[in-house]
Amino acid sequence: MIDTNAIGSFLLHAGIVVAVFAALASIVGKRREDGRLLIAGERAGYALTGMIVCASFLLANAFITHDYANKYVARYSDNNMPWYYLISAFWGGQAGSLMFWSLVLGVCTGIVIYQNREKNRDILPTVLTVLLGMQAFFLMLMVIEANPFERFLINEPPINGRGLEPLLQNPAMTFHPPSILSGYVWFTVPFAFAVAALIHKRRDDAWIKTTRGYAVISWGLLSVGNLFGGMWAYQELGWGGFWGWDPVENASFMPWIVATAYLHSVMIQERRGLLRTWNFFLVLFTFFLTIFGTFLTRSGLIDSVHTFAQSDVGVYFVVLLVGLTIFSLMLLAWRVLDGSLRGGRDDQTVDDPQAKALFTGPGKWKGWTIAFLCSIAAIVFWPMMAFVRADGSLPMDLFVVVLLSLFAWIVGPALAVAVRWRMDAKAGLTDGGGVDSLASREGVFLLNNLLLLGLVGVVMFGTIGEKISAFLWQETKYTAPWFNAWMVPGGLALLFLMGVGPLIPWRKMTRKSFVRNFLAPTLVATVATAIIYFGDVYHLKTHIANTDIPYGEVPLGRLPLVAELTGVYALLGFWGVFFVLYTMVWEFVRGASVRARSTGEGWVTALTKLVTKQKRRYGGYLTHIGFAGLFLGFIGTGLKTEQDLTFNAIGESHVLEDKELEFTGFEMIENREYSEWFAKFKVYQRNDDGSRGEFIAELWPSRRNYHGANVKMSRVTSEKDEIFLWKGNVYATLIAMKPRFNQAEIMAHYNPMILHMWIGGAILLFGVIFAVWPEQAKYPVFAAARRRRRKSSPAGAPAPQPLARARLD
Amino acid sequence: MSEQTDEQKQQAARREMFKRARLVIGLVVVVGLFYVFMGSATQGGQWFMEVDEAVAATIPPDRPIRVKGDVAAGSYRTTEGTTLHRFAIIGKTEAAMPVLYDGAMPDVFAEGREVVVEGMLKADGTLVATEVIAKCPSKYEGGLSPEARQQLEATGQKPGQPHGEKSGQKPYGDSAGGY
Repeated sequence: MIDTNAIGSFLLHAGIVVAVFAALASIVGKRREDGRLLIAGERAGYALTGMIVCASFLLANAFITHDYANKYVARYSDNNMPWYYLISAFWGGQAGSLMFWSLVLGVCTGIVIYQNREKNRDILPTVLTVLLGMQAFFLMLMVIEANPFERFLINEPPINGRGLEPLLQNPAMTFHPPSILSGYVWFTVPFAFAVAALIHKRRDDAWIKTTRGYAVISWGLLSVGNLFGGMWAYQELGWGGFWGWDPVENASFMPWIVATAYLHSVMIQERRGLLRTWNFFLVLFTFFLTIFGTFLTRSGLIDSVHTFAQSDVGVYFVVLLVGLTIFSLMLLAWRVLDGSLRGGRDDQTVDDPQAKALFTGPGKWKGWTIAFLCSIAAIVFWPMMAFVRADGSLPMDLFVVVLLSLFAWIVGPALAVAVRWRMDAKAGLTDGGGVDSLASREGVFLLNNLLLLGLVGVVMFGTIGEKISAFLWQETKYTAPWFNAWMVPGGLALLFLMGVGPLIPWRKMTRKSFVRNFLAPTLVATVATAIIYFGDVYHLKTHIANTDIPYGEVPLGRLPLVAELTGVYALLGFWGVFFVLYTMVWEFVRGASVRARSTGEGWVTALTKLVTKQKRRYGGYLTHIGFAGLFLGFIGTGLKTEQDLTFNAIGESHVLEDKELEFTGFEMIENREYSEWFAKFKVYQRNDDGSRGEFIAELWPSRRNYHGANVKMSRVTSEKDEIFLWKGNVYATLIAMKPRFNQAEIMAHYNPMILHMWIGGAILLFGVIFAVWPEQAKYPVFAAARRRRRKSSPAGAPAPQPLARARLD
Repeated sequence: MSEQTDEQKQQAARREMFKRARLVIGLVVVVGLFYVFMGSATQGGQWFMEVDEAVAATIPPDRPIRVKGDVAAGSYRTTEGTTLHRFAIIGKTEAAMPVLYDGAMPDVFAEGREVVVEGMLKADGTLVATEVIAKCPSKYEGGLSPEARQQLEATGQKPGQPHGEKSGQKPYGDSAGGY
């Protein structure tokens, strides 16, 4: 019999060799302008993709065939699991999630090579080197620390596996890790292109255009992944909320925020040729944060309630983090200093003797100094690894290293830019224009970027502040209220900017256009909010009236942060949501009617054609509409009610918000995996006069006792039950029960607008898919003809590059 | 000709002034925000302490804290039919801190176990808890038998790190420590 695990393990080992070969071939080929070596590198890249896909299939196969000779399979699956949980057990643990990471990266690499077979030939070798370098890192990590194909060599393989943690056996959990991981990995491509563009001094935005799809897909995957994570927490953890600012959640939230900033600031570069440095910074930083997020999740440095993937690979990630920081920041600083990233037109030649002197002239000692400092950092760093504790956990020293690299991300680029400005000012150079006025589209994007980066700072501090505060003052745990104090006003400001963006023209807004554009949305939003307020929907008015805001006690600057402002924030939130919805919908309506008028098409045809012609723009607007839905859900968490209800007899009923819960008894079911006790409730609408209204649905929260075939996983979990209603969901978890005495205690929640949130998430996903849907894949024959035509006609076509020709030889 | 250059000069000067003003305003905003942020970082959040530390320190009464300690043997009292729980937590020294908690206890709570209690101190030194997190040495491993643990260790796998199990409470909604 063939040992598939041995084959898989071999593929991983061989993969390292192939990756290193491909990277070297690309570098050397680029150096010597040797087309054959470059082609060899690319083909090795394809081969690597194939090998990793094969290895992943072998692992998936091992799960499906219950191959318990494989330790990883024995650890994370058992005979009782249905096939879809077997598949999700693939990334249930450390080794498998690294394998998954490697798989996605491999697929990405393959796609990149294929996509760029006729374009970007001059920077592709460098791109490949970066991608394959990352691939080699993950393969090595697997081979050394966490091999998913490790076998039981001494002990007999078990007859049954240990199974997947019951908490993770949830449909949302089958989607959450792969989408977050793919989102992380997908961003490697923009990173690789950014690095290549920096190395080869590409001022134009070709690299941005090439990687736009990747950036948007990565962003979409991270959004959806976070939403699935929230859904899982909401369904499985039973506290009635979806986001608790847990370090693990923050880890995937931070790269998402910076990626959001990047997707917006890119538009300024495309439109106005500004912010080149900033965009490079955002891409590099986002990638850093994806690795940082992985590090946080895996290292166990920060105590989290749900670290399922904790292990001892943290050290390797510290190495990667520090290496990345040094490499990216040096590269960026170099290009900032030598003036390649200065503003101005793309084709403007950079001729700056002063900057040149910095690296080639008499002043080139500076370059050497930088290189020296860099190596010092590396030399100092390695001995620190000796401090890693025997159990693989990280000591504070390593954390300090991570902190320092974080600090470098703030100081490094700022310093380089400041030095550059100083040099420019001395030489009397202008920076080729800037943002003229904050009241312009680019001004709004700029504000949105600053705000987003500020929010990343808050999340970052809240996540690792536990360690920082222990150093500097009293060890402090930053919990949800602290985060909310910053993130709620920040989020509202973001919501407002989201609505303002499309209303403001590029360059500068005149007073006339201000009145014309803003009057209608402001009026509509105000009227709609007033209806909600005076109608006392969700007790908003009562809530605000009853809140006692401690004006006297809080310093003025800190007033926006007091928790008592929930009601006011909810009100502002409603206003923002209506404002955004109106603006976004109006964009569709206005565009379609303009088009219908000028072309004479029917309104529906005009709308379809308009939207499909500018997928990216209207996909973006759809995403914003989705966001309005998400914000409704966020507002809902501020207005929710929850009650601890104890029922002591059958027929007893309690009131929750405008619902009435009647206890009707217990029921027990049993299957192979668990026995489950349900407490049954009937939920009625409650009339205004306090009498019982119509029956809505039954609510069956339960407690589940896992036994099944797998005694080692035995435990009791609370399962929530929920009634979906348009206005708000009724949600209950069974906390305690005494079936013999017919007593049950539940935590009952009324969660307003949860449904709106999930709908918003779906719209967001749709918007992302719409925005990145390929343009012309419909008729391959025409596409090929177009390509041929483009090649033969010199006008408008990119000049054939020497490296592209090399392939034809 | 000269008139125009004059005008241009004036414009340039105005632009320069505008730029400088913007820079100053930006700086003021950044410094102000940083000041407020540091305030919220040092005064907000929950102070995280061991029992011994918490007993020794002077803690303002409305200060949210998070205290780690072991549940003192024989100290646990609960009233039947209510969700009111009383117990004491002790640290390495004999210093004890009485805890009053109204809510659902996590399943793994027991005397002698390590717990983390979140809440605020009353004037008499009682910790009024909003949440009790009981540490269970092997939550993820789900009560591994000693043999299984040995086998795991022999094969190079490590049993999971200790995890907390939260009581049926929410991270949201506490008005405490908002700023």
